[in-house]
Amino acid sequence: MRTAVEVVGIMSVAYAAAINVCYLLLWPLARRGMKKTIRRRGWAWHQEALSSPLTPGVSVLVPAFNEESVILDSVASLLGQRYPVFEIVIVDDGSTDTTAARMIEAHGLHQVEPAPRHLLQYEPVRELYRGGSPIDITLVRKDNGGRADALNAGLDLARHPYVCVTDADSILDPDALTVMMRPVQEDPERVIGVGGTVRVANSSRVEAGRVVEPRMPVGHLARFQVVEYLRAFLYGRVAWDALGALFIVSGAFGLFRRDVVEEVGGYWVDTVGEDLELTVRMHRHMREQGRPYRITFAADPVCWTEAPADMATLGSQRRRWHRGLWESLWRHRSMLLRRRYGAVGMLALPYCLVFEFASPLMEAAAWIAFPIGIGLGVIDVEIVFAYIVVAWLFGTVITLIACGLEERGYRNYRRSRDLGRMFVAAVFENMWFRQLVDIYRLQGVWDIARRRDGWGTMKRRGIESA
Amino acid sequence: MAAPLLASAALIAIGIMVALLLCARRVHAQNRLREELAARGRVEPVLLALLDGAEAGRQESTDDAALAAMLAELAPSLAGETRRAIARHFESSGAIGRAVRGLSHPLAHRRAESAAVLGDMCSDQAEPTLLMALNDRDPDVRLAATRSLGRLRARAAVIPILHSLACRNVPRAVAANAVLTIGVAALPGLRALVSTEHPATRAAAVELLGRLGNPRDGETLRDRLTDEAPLVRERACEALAHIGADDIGQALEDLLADEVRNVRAAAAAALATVGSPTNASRLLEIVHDDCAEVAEIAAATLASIAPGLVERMGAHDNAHPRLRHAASMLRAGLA
Repeated sequence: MRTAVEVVGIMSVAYAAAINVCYLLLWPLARRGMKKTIRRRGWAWHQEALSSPLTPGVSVLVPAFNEESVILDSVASLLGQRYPVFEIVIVDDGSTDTTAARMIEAHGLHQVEPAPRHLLQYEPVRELYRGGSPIDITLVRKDNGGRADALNAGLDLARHPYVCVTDADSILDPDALTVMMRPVQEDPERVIGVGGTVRVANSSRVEAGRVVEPRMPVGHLARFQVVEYLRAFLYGRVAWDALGALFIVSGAFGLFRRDVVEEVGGYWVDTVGEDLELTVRMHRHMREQGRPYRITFAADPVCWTEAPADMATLGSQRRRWHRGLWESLWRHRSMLLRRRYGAVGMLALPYCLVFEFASPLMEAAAWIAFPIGIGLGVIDVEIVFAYIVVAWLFGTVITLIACGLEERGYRNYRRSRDLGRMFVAAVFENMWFRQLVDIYRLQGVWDIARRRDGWGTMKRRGIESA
Repeated sequence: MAAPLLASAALIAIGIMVALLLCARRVHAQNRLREELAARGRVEPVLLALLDGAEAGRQESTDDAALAAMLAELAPSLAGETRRAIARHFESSGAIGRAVRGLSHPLAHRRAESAAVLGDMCSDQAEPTLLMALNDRDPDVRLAATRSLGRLRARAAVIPILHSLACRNVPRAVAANAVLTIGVAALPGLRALVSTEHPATRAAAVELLGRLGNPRDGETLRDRLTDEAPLVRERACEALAHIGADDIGQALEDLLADEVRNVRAAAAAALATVGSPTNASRLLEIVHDDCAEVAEIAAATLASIAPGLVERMGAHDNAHPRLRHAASMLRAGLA
């Protein structure tokens, strides 16, 4: 028993050290990537892209299930996009509310005969509506099959060569599509996917479907998610992108070349982490075919989303994410540590397995082993205390650096009090929010063991103005 | 315990430093914003004078960037004496010289910034240096130089830009935009490149000739419909549709049997603009094409050139789903 506790204790310390070393190694990459992003704005060519007849079209896909409270605002936000050629495809995934009726009435849509290409598998399409001027709007009404299934239907009915995937409760910045398409325009032969930044919109000032003044949320839970998202996107994804190993293009805001998504078979419907799985599958497909490609991250385009403001919704979301992570890792386990799959196989997926998936298990082991070890006199209480303090401080510094990247690149939170709140959130996020998320992720592991599936429910309040 | 204590102390110190740095940055950024606004206020009279085509007084060199930024938004739409006045102003203030020197800076981002700003200063003096910058080792410098040459409407840059495009030294979209900004002055260069050896250059030249050319270029472009490179054939279809060439319905119909689906799709799409009801029977066959995208475009084209036929055929229950879709689009007034 003593030896086991001792081993767990040593492993926990080594694990914490390893994860922190990983973060440290990612820092210069994130810093360099953000610096480059900021500098390149100086010779951005948005205006040219906007007025050019050669700018490729984009279909914006919005899966919607019982989204009557937000669908019209969401479409209003999309209609405000400054992009020359795009269409909006709303996929009503068997809603039982008035989502479709509201869309038809508000935008004067006409029913037309569906003519899907049948390149992808999805539940039957019942009705198709088209209309909208000057921007084409398509409303697809289909049997319920889940988010991935709805996206497959949207892909099959999309008319443009690129698809941008977003959620019905999200708001895109007006230039989001233009900026998102920049990597594509610069390297159309190779770029097959682009991930954009997702930010928390709770309590921000929203006018006419636009976030006009981002603010730190009123609730603590949402505030912690603000800094968590900053760390994930401006620190993590920028760094992974620099390594050529971006393993996820977020489902809330991602852009793909349609033909490649069709080629790989579209979204996998038997997972709750369809965005991660699709990204990994696209990497795998291109690597196996030996084709040159890039799946990249663009930090500038922003999609604002409503973060869970209560523990139950947060718990459900994180359990689902953790299950999704496992499902993707398991499905693509043969890519792990295989040189053929490049940085994704050699770095990103092992990182996901060891430091993302296993992290709650390791932390749980540590929380169990430390009190027992102290009780048995195997572990010194001071060492445990030092371990906790150092881990917390290190996490705080990393989060503060992510806040620094936001301040350097965007200064979205203009009010000084918001900056202060961001600091406080950065300090306390590592004190209890991370541990709370770990508990949910442990529950996710339990769900995997029990083979539980399904999405759970996401309680939405709508992005309310402050 | 010394090591954890030391680590904690170091991390606390780093944390405090990062927080202080953030606050300092915030103050600095706010000051800089104020300075920028003040500079914009100072250069406003100079800007107005320049837009009137008049000589403007000298301003501080630190205000050059503010003036260039304000002019950047207007420069593409300016012409004639106004452009010349702007160029003279930047030349006499030494801003052009400084930016040209910036193009030999050892740091790539400085060179790219200089290349970008030169495009907004409207001066022909920048052209030779920008042309050389097309061969810079850094892709961002090449991109900024291409964009600037377009904004300067530098005729001499058309062929080098297209060559850069063909060698993938600059992104296609940036190079094409630059040539489109140069406008009809680029036509002689484009016509010369339509039959060049390199397929990618030919494709780019054909595409841009379609955008900038006129029906007299139809013959040149028609020859490209039988080009050995599929990309050139595809672009030729699009180009012919854009210039509204006459009597090419049959040639496009022939391409509906092309082995490359993108070419078939481009031919079907082009027929929507330059086709006639005589092309309908061939398009009806293409509605059953194996490639869904080609079939989709063929149905939409049919709806555009033979709406009556599509409405009649699409009304049948056993009609092809694409025809039924096209017919319903026509009924809804959306075709």
